[in-house]
Amino acid sequence: MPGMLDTDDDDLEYHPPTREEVFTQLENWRRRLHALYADIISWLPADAGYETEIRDHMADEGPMRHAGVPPQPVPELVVRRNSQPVLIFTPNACWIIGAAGRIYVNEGNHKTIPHTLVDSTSPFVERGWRLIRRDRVRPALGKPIDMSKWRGLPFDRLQLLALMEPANE
Amino acid sequence: MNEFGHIIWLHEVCNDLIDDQIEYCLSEQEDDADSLKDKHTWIKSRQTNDHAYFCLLVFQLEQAIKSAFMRLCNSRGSKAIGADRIAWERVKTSKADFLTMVKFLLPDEIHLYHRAKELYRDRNKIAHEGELSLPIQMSTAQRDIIDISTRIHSALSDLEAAP
Repeated sequence: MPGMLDTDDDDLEYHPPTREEVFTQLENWRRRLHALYADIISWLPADAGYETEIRDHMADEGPMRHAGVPPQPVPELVVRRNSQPVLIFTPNACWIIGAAGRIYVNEGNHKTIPHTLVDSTSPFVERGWRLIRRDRVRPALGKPIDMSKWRGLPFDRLQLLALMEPANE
Repeated sequence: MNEFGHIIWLHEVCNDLIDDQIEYCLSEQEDDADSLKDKHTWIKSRQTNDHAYFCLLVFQLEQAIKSAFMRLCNSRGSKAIGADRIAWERVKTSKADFLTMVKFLLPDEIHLYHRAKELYRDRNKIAHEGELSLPIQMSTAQRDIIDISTRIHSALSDLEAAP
């Protein structure tokens, strides 16, 4: 066996986070959310009538309940234009298989399926936030799947502006 | 990705149908208790659907790894002589676990090994611990499964040919 793999602990059991670990993880999640929201706010066009508000959203996730932690506040970002909500960034999951966190992006009225922002940071794959846009085009039977749609795109200023296109019209 | 393509497609179609129901609930003007309950039931169903297809994909990956491992043992064992032949026979009948097989098949791919380990650990969370409250970002899981399986297929011919 190659030496580099021998050092691995190979522990495949699942250890739910303890109460302390839950609070540490939530603090880390809040820090990442605030950093993302600061970027988003800086990307908004100036003098175009945009206002932002960061308010509390109560997170209540499985590992928190498991550790006996009651719902805790995490920041939610609302982007308004001319006082009408345009985009709402709601943290969906801090504990999630396959990602370091997930945010749902609603277009103002919460009347459609949201877009998804994924924190893809991990030691081995690409880092940072990726946007997976809501796509209701059903794949055709037997046709190859377009994986690029699911991998999403790095979330940057252009992606943000594209999300707000209906509001810019 | 052939053995995985159909499962991924079916997962997408099922989620799409569930999304229709969620959108219908969202479009309803009433915010009464029944509408909200329906909405949450469908959102929960979407998560359960993810769990089901995630497990199915990982089971397929396990099967693909097992058959690649057996192929490797057979072809290397048949070429080897003396002690080497006995060693390969022992490896083949050792009931190697999932990660040992991955180590044999991807000896130089430590990042894929770790992704396989995470997938297996996540599968155990759902299959053994009944941890159904954890949502899954399926796009990442699907990418990892396809990356690992593609790499194993391409590595297998090199490994079989190794002296």
